[in-house]
Amino acid sequence: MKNKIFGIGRKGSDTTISIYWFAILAIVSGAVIYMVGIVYGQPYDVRDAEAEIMASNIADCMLQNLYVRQEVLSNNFQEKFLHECRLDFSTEEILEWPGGQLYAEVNIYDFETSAKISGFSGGNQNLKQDCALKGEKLSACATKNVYGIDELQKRYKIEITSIVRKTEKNAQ
Amino acid sequence: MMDKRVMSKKGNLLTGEVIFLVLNIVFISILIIFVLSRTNSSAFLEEQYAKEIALMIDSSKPGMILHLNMEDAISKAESNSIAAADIVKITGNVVTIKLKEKGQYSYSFFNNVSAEKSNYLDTSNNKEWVFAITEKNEK
Repeated sequence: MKNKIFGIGRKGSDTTISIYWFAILAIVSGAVIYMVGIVYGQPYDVRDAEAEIMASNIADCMLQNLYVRQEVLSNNFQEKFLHECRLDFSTEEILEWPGGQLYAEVNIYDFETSAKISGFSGGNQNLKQDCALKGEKLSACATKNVYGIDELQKRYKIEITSIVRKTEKNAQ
Repeated sequence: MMDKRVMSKKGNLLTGEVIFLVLNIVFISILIIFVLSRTNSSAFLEEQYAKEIALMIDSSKPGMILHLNMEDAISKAESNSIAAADIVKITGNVVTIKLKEKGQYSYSFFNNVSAEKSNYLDTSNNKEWVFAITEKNEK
């Protein structure tokens, strides 16, 4: 008995069309399954957006109508930093997360002389080393520079660095 | 004798073409079902909404009221026998989305605001979730 479906025993163009048609179908489906698997198999990586939002929130906290907040320039702002800037660095507990997953650092410089006036930070500072390296499984870093003046029209440069790790939930 | 041979030839040709067509349809249907099941799965929607809500809350300020269209998540939860009102849960600074019986997805936000008791399903249209962002009451 000749198999006409797969073209076995057929002659000429009919045979070629059947076999090639199934081969093309198999290749196309394989490619679609592979691509869907790649796109939807990976977690949704939101760390860059998170780090950017954190840096923007801190910038809003440092300035008030382009004026640098007076307490930010004082030495004891370190203790109040997270609370004043409305930051909560606690995260959901998962087994692979022994340390903190977030870090934020602010350095304030004199705009004219570039001398450091004040600096404060919060969170897990071990994450800072990830910013010098590149890789999907490392923390996401965002740096933002903002400029402001005080009541005496003195100009300041405020350098904000925010880091988000949360690797296990955003990269595989 | 001659008629019988022609009939048999025609019959075989039709059966072959029909099976070929059916196989193609089955093949393509399986592919479409696979893609749809991956793109519309409960686990994927849970992760997507938990992270989306966390980012929304991160960028919000106290006093804001946020509306999020969650139509697809709500219909998915209802098909999995989960009440629409139980889909979103905010505990402290962790958003948890539950769309299926077994399992859920949690993601934390860093903005120290409260949305714990002020998030609810908009019952007027049953497809939007409302988040009223308030100042956190420190103890």
